[in-house]
Amino acid sequence: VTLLDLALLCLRLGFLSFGGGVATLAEMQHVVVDVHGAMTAADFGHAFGLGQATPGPGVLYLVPLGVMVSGPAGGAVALVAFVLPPLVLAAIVVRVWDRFADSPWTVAANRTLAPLSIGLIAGGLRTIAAPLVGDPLALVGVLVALVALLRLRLSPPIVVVSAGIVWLLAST
Amino acid sequence: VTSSLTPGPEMSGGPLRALWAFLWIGLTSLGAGRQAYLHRTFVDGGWIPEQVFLSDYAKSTVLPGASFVNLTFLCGLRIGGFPTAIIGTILVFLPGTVAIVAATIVLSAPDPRVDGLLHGILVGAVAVFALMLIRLRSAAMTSSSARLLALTAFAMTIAAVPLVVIVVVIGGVGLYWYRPRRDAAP
Repeated sequence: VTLLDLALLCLRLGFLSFGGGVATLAEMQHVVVDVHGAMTAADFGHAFGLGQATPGPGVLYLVPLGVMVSGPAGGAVALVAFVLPPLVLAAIVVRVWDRFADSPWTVAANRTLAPLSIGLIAGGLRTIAAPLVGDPLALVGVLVALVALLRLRLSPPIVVVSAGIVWLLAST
Repeated sequence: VTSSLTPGPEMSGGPLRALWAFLWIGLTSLGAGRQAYLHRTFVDGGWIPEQVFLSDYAKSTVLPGASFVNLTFLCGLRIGGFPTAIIGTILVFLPGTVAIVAATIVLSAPDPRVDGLLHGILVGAVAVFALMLIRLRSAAMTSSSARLLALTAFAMTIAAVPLVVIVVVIGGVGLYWYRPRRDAAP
């Protein structure tokens, strides 16, 4: 994948990421894995996992993804192309937003975007979890991690890093 | 925008103090619900009024892009205008970027232990993702029409329908569905 292709992909998906960066995971994986064959589905999942294990915005998963598909410069290109244009839009929109905050059409847009985002995020979860299907141990690990998050209220990065350490120890 | 962009009295430390706060958030904001770090720092710290923050939170989730990044940018805009918004957003990215670049370099070597580590990280990340979906679902799926729109969007992703088509179709149907009606109660 050339840097220009990567930039255009991230630019397009950045503008379509209603509900956050994860809403575009399914489309991102479809393009880089299925269409371009630039990385495997497992590598895509690994890149996303690294983004969850590091501090700061979750969209940082684009750095390892960009490096994997387009080389060292790909990380910076992917991140900037995805993040910057929506920020410019935000800067513009915020100046007129308050004027229309109580408009019935604004309310209608909010009511529409919430389920749209959830549908896209569910699609992203299916995409990310795909490499684990057929691996019963991994699925048990997901359930255990989910219980740790829900019941023990552990911090997500602690759960992510702990799961990594468990699988690291198991592989040695 | 409005007078809420004017720095509050608590900003006695000046722009450097604000930028340090952004860097600290970038270093310590981990996991889902990162927006809570912004709230704790800038609202509880007296930089941004609660109502302004909540309004910006709504904007950050509705606008395209990473919602945490959008909200970070809007907080910077409220505190010190565009320079603070731009530099603050960069500073929020900085620690994680350094960490993930280092991890990408270190973990790029072919090694079964690295594969094991990354596979485990993916297991944990899927759980975090599922947790986020559970929380969002309980907050937003309050009507049968919302559930139908979400399920349709999900089905379209499974069918590999291009994202732009999904956004246009579901967005159009939703806007028609929830359109203002003349007979609605005032």
